[in-house]
Amino acid sequence: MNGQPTAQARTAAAHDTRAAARVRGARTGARVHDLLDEATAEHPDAPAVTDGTGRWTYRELAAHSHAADAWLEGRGIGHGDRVLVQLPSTRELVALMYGAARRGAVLVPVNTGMKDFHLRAVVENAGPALIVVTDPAVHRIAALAQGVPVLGLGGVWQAITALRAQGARSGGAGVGPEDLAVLVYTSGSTAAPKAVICPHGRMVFATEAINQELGYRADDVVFCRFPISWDYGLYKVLLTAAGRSELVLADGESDLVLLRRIRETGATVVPIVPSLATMIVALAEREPSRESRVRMFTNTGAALPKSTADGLRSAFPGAEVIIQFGQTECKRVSVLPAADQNAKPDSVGRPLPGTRAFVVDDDGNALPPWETGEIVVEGPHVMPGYWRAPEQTARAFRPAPDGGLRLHTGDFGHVDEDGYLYYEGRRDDMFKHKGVRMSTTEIESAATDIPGVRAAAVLPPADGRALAVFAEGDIDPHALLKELSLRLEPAKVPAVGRIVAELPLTPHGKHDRKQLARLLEGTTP
Amino acid sequence: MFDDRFEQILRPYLPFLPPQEELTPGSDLKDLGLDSLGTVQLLGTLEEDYQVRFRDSALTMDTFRTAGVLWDTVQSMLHPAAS
Repeated sequence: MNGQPTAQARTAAAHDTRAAARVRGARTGARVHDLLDEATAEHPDAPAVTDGTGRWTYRELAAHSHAADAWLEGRGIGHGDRVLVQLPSTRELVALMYGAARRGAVLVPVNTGMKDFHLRAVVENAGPALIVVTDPAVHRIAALAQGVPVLGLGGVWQAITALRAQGARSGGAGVGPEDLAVLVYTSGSTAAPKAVICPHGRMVFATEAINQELGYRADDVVFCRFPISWDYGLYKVLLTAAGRSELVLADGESDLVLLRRIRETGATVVPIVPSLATMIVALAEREPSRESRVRMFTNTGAALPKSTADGLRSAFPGAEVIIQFGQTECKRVSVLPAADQNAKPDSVGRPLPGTRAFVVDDDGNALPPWETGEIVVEGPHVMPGYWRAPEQTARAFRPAPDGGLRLHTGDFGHVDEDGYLYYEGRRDDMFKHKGVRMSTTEIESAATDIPGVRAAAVLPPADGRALAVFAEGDIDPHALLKELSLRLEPAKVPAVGRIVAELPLTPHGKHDRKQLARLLEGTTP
Repeated sequence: MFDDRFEQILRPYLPFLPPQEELTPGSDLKDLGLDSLGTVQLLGTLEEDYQVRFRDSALTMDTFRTAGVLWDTVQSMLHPAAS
């Protein structure tokens, strides 16, 4: 590149891109691989995807995806067949993803850390026609695959490379926007695996609607620390194609070199979750005031503490920190544009363009601003349900008055007069105390804001038991409650405060409230 | 063996190590609960406390595998001639 564009020119370019996208609107009738083909037609020789071992241009990625399509065809994979992959997030996986999309097959990407116990259930639920894993895992997976062919990526990739050298193309497949592209297994708290069905058209709509808010562009380098098996990583593949940007796949690298890799790769956009942001800030404190091109961090997963957001802004001067909110069932609910952050610091944003998100009471009636209820979502990004789980689908995906689907998110919150959303907690976290509806989440987040508190868990009140807060950290229990009273309205301040060496967790990593309750009994005579 | 200060710094990052249990050079830190966020924070704490700076080549998960390896790494920075 011949010099960096000025900040002003970049901002102007970003506005142009966003304006153009808004005029066009997100499409509902496109396929996943259309995004790749359009990017390839426009910028064939621009970098498309980089991993630890190299980089492909859009032309190269497209050619590999055609070869993957031809290879799948040769294996007898056809329309609607599931192809399960448990692979690290590399260029090969991106090629397989687009190849499967061209084939009309359904990609089922599962986390490389998924244990056999869980994987066996996923195989049973997904019913794949083919499984591709790393070479060393072939025998282990074959033992639990119930007769489904299991292939190692080494051999598969040799075959695809050979096909690519011949410029191979499949005989084509009639793929439409309603056809399924991906099954995303979510790490729910229930024992049975549950996959969100993701059709082509809805994935492309979600991608383009998100990009109307984020404005990825051709000079962006997007640093993705997340696996493609997680929808956060998966959609980075699509978003970078929509933006004609470069995707850097950095999952599996040591977190100790995160900051160095962000700088080395010339990353301009860094998707984060709060824990990743905390690491980046901690690493930046070791090496302050170094050059970086990062212009935007985008957060999801959980609320980003203000101190962490401030840490990012001071370590990366000029970078925006964008707050997002969502769930796989509709990919994303809302985005808070940087321009609104000062006016609405506690909001999780406005619904994606072309979609609706609002709050309803127990009977499904829309609630006025500032009243707390369940957040529901409608629009072309709402997925059609869970794979082979009619009961769970019927609970979460209900008919909307306009004939579409209304997603019941299980998240509670409210909207303001401008329709911006405010998240208060999960259904399970909500309770009433002194007549006020509140959530464990909001009290816990107030507690972790207190200097000296490393972690906190709240136990809702019950018969014979007052509202209690447990904290890990260097703080006196009385000081903890006093500090909370400075941060919360009176009804939300717990009556009991306890400092513990370590908060008990369930096997799923959530606060073990049964243990906490016992802790309280144990210390009360 | 390592000094008390080192152990005091390390223990808060090892939630699965009971207070009465000994920390040995062979103790696997990941098994004791050191996660990636903890690793990054431990790096910063060690550097601040010992006034040292980990070289880029030492910024690997191997360095943080066991208490012994980590202690040796810190020592080699404190006493470069001895290593």
